Amino acid sequence: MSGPLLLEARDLAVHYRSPGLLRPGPPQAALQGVSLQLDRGEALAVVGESGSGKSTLARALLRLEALSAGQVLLRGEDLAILSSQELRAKRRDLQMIFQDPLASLDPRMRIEQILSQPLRVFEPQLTAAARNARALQALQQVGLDASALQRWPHQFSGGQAQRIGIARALLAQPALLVCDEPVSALDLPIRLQVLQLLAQQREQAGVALLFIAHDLAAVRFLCERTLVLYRGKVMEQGPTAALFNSPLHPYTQTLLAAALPADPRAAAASRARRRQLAVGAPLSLPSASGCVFAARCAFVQPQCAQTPLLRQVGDVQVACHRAGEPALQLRGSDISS
Amino acid sequence: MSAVLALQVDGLSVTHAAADGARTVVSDVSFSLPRGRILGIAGESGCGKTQLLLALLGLSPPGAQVGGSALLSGQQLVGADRRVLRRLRGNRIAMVFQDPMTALNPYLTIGTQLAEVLQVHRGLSKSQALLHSQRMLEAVGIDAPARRLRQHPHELSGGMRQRVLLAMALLCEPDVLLADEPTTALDVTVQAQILDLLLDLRERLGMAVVLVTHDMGVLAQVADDVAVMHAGVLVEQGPVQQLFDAPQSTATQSLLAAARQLSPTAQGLV
Repeated sequence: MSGPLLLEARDLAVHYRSPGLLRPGPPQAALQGVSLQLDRGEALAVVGESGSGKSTLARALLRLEALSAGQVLLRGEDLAILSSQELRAKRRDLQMIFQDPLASLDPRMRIEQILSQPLRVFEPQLTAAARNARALQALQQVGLDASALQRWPHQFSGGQAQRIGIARALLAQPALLVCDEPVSALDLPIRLQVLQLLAQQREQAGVALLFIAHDLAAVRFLCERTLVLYRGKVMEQGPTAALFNSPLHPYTQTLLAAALPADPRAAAASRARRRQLAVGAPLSLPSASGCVFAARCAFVQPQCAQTPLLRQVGDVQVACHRAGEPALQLRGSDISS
Repeated sequence: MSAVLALQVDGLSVTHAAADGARTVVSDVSFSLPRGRILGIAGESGCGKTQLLLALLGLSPPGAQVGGSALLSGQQLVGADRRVLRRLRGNRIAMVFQDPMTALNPYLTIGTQLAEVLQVHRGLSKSQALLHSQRMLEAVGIDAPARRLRQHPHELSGGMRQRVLLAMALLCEPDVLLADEPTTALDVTVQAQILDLLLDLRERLGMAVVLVTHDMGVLAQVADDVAVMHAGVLVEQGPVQQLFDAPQSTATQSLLAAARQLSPTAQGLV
């Protein structure tokens, strides 16, 4: 399903300056040294807790966020050196769907208007009739029918509104769809339907997905590769199956142990695993440098005062000095059975 | 069954007045909950889960008709006098809401909000109440509790605010704790911590819990019994294992099917 390289990020960093009128605080790193590659038609997940920098990464890739270091290359072309006009043309390739489906639709536009916007911008030569035909086709692709065209956003449920958001994004015929927590506001059965829709569109339109989520189940369902962020840094990345079956980084292990299996028989083991990974009181390390996860890590050692670099262990890249040691080994059966 | 019933609900119904006539949002719901047990109520949005909890607290919207019976350790809640309900709420029956930001008053310190519960229900002085509140914050795993008492809600993270709400609900050691999607707005790691805490507290305090959620993973983790709600009706209830092994109703089957397809341990498309 994957093809040649579509998007590459090299060593991205984003800093925010904490607010303060007279004495602005020191810049805070929201993202540090993040590199990733995405092939055509590939689905890459970015996971982590709130505040880990997931959304900042998505915004940085779309150049909605100023980079303090690094490069974003779309088909080998550096987005940072484009003029705003050139960038607008490129944006066609990079579409986004948002977490709150209703907030992302203009309440004063009928669905027909909402869906014809991307066509007006990207294909101005189309007649009104041709635009309507395309809008209708897009609606049908996401499982809605012509009756939706004349209605207003508030007349739809969250799941339907998210389908409209997906239809709008697909009308631009993008190469990459950036999805920022697209299903977390939806009920489980609706969530499943929207994920199935994304998988199907990816198959049919060959669109690549960058899928931002804290819901590991959705990630497992949709994405073949996963990148784990913690406080703006990559902790681990690699094939989803490898990461989920034998997570090497203690942070990945912590995330997986917190994902609750829908099976009462697995509950006790899941709880025991969390206890094993818990630290009593957060440790304070002598220096501000070092591993960002150390304060929450059950396996912390003196060497963790040195910043661990991403290194290859088996199929994955991991930023942990102790990754791969037997003491950290987590058998798949501990969490999955 | 010799266990003391913390909550016994019989034929509870809630009907809202609507422009086009009356709408029944909770219909003939019955269940009993012994002390120290956790009942999970599952169902999709709009099935009436939250309306059921609000009816138990006597907080149904104005104009709503509540029928049937709900006994809290033998005391009738349905149709009870407002003053009686006010004495019971936050005292013998307490609730934790989904959104920890809107459930706390942004203008008051955490300490003032916690202490008020004990001043009203236990008649403690403010300083006694603060001391007790500090111990409760400690019990729900909040570090530096003395400092937290002087802080305002916006200074705390979402997970910490939810712990504060839990502490507030537990101050009077209620017979029954009602929790409405208490972890839905939280990160998975924080969700797991709060649920583990709930299990610990249940063990220590022996309270009964009604936990409303649409997340079958949450139910599998903490519930002893599960009731599934659909269109205002409890379509199925039983011990958690039995319900997961042999779901009878289509509502339960569809919830479980979606949960199993969307599980962190499931084999996905890839």
